[in-house]
Amino acid sequence: MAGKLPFDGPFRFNEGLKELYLQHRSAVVNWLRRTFSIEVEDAIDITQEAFAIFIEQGLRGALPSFANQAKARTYLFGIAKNKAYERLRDQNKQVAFAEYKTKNESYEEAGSNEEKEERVKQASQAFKKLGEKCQKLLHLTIVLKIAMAEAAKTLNYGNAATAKNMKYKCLIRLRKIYHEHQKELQNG
Amino acid sequence: MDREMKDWILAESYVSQELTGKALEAVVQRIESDKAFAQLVSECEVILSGTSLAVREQIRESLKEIEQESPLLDEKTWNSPEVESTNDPGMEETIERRLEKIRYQAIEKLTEKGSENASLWRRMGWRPIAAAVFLLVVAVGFWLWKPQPEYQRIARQYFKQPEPILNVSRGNDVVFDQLLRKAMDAYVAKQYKKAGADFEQLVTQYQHVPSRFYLGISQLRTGKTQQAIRNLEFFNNNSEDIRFERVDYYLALAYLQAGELEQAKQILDQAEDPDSQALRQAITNLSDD
Repeated sequence: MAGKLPFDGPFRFNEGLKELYLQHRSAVVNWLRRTFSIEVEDAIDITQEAFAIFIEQGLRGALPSFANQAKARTYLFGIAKNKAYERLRDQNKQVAFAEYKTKNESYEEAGSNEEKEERVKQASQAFKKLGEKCQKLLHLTIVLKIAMAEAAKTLNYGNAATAKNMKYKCLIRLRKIYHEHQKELQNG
Repeated sequence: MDREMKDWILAESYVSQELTGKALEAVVQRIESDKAFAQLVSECEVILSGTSLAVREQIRESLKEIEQESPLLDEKTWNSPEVESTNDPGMEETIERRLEKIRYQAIEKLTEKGSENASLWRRMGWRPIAAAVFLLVVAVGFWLWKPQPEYQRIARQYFKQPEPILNVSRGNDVVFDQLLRKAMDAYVAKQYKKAGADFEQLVTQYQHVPSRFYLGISQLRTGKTQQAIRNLEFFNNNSEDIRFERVDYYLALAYLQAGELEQAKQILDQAEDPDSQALRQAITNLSDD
């Protein structure tokens, strides 16, 4: 077998991701084009953004319970609608939506706090600079929400207490990288 | 554990909404009275949100690759009535099930052994290796002397090699195509150890689902029974692909080889094909002895 594999995240070549996306992609893209009169490329881009939010929330258990599949899809469409509106607002386009409500905290961070959004973006850049071991541990415990004992077994940490300790060390390291990143930006 | 670590744990538990009752009340009060702690909580919130954002960006990158691989219909067909109901045939799984599959495969990818095993060897040094070699010699000697259990003999007797899959190509991925061809050639030649190593790479690096089945078969033939069970169980629970409709038979063989006769019989209970019935009978006869 080949040597060490590069860590390019746990979602590349993920068959489940592909199946979910291909199953619902057409419906979302088509609806966006009809409703917002936007170009195909923009509709696909917004659709991918909506899927990414939906899936990330689903993986960490942050989605509401859906009574049926139609409600789950409606939620997905709701995210896409939100993103489309943001895109059009950013492009200074006038779109009339009688029933659109600006209150969207139920499925997305409030978009009005630009300063906080910028800090979150910086934190995401900091995450990408973490070492492979920390990224894997945080993926398992924060993103995929698996139990500490399982994470310990998965990554050969010995026991849950060791894994938990390592998790917080990784978070502190992440915080340090984030602060360094902020300083770099301030210094230009 | 120092103060900073303790405060981080508390902040993260609060932001992740893991706290309840008195613990939650205590943290809320502390946020109101302790500015430094409140700042820490706010920072923790940003950092966890940043983690979520980084994950979403990873997912988006993967979706872009999928889009390139399977581009959507062109504009000429936008107004076609078929577009509304376009779903890939056979993909009627629920959204929840799909999310579970994404999660499972993500966890599998995070458990790749590569770098962890390399550092483990460095730490171990020569003594454990020498001990392992000694134990191996003793184990081989014991195995040679001890007759094979009957259930293992039957598992070998009833094994029939599943047909390989041929002419599978990803088109634009030459490395994948070559690796799959190499794996299948070894498999057809019954070089199961060699085939298993390649199928494992296809599963971990490319998430190639059919390779997981052949990996399970190779592991079954090379005595890695528990691993074979794990891989074949994946198809039992997750796949409706008709290519793997006989997975029950091989899963039963794996359980038989592991000495779990009752489990093997249960799996074959609903099978109606002659091979499964013959195997079930053989296991029943064994249980009755």
